[in-house]
Amino acid sequence: MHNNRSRDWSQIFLQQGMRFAILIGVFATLFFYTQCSKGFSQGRQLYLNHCANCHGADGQGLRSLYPPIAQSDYLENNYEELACIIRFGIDKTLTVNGKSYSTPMVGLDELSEIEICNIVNFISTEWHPKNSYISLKDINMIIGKCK
Amino acid sequence: MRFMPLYILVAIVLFTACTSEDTLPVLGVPTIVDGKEIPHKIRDFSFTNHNGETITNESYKDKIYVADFFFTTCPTICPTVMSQMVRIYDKYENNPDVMLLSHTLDPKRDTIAALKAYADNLEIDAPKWNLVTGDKKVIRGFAQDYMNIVVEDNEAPGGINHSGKIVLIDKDRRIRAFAEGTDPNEVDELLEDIDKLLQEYAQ
Ligand code: HEC
Repeated sequence: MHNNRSRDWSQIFLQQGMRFAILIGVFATLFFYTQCSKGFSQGRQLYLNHCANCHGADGQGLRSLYPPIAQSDYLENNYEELACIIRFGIDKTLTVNGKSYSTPMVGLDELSEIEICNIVNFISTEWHPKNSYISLKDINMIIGKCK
Repeated sequence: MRFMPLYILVAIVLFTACTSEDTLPVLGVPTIVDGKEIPHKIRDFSFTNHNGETITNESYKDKIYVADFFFTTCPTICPTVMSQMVRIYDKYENNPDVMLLSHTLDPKRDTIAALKAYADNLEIDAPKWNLVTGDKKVIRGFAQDYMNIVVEDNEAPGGINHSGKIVLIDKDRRIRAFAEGTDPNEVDELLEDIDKLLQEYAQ
């Protein structure tokens, strides 16, 4: 038993190292999960999974049923509504690029704030570049104030 | 083992016979009556369309048509399937031999007025494309009828509900092809199949 002493130390050292690595891993994961990325890939994927079935993969919409998101003058002029529309939906008669829409959109309440943030930034970068990057903090604030 | 080359030859012949076949297969599980195979056929039907008109199998007499099942408030796959149905509608807009038939799976909410609004929003109309409603159970039964070919794929509970299949029916009310309406590539092929079927009748 007593000749295991040195191995004990190395084991303790290894264990600590392991703990340290795990801790770093946890922090890194937390960091990435609480960040809303500027890069598109997550936002694009989320858009394709949750919005494209109605608004189209290219944001083109469908006839008078689903309004376009790309080049939508309504969205460009009411950009601050975007996060609220995603969370709570929208039900009014809208005029988008001169065409009238009145089918209600149900909110996607299964999407987290970070997911909404990624979608908003994807839409800005892809179709509405006049709108700058928005942080998770801003998204939380906007959603807190939705009507 | 001596017969191996023969097997391979037979396999090759069968394979080329299948792939060079230009007419579409007849799909669906046939019924056997007195030892004879009767191909699966869509039964007689009578529904009401978005204009309040009665639509029956007679309305589709001597036409080929594509059929699907949907409901106007469906948030997930129906919008995608509908956009593909619109593609088919647009392509054959000026060809009276091709029609479309969409059945609502939610007759309670999809009143005639709701269907009418949906048709207007899709910018489509009868007689080419009827959005129809009827008794819920009857419509479910027809969903089985149209999806006969894929019943085995649809064993998931409620699978029929969420099946986004677009089914091609010939003038004898037989299923000749189908596509997953959520997959534009499959619908590309279905469009080719529609042309093939039209060709079959042109001869
Ligand atoms: C089930 C279909 C459906 C889904 C899914 C959907 N929407 Fe909508 N959306 C609509 C409809 C219908 C309207 C029109 C609402 C109205 O007239 O009140 C609309 C309106 C909008 C508008 C305002 C009008 C415009 O086009 O500028 C925006 C922005 C929007 N949606 C974004 C999104 C985003 C982002 C997602 C995904 C997170 C999404 N929608 C998912 C159907 C949908």
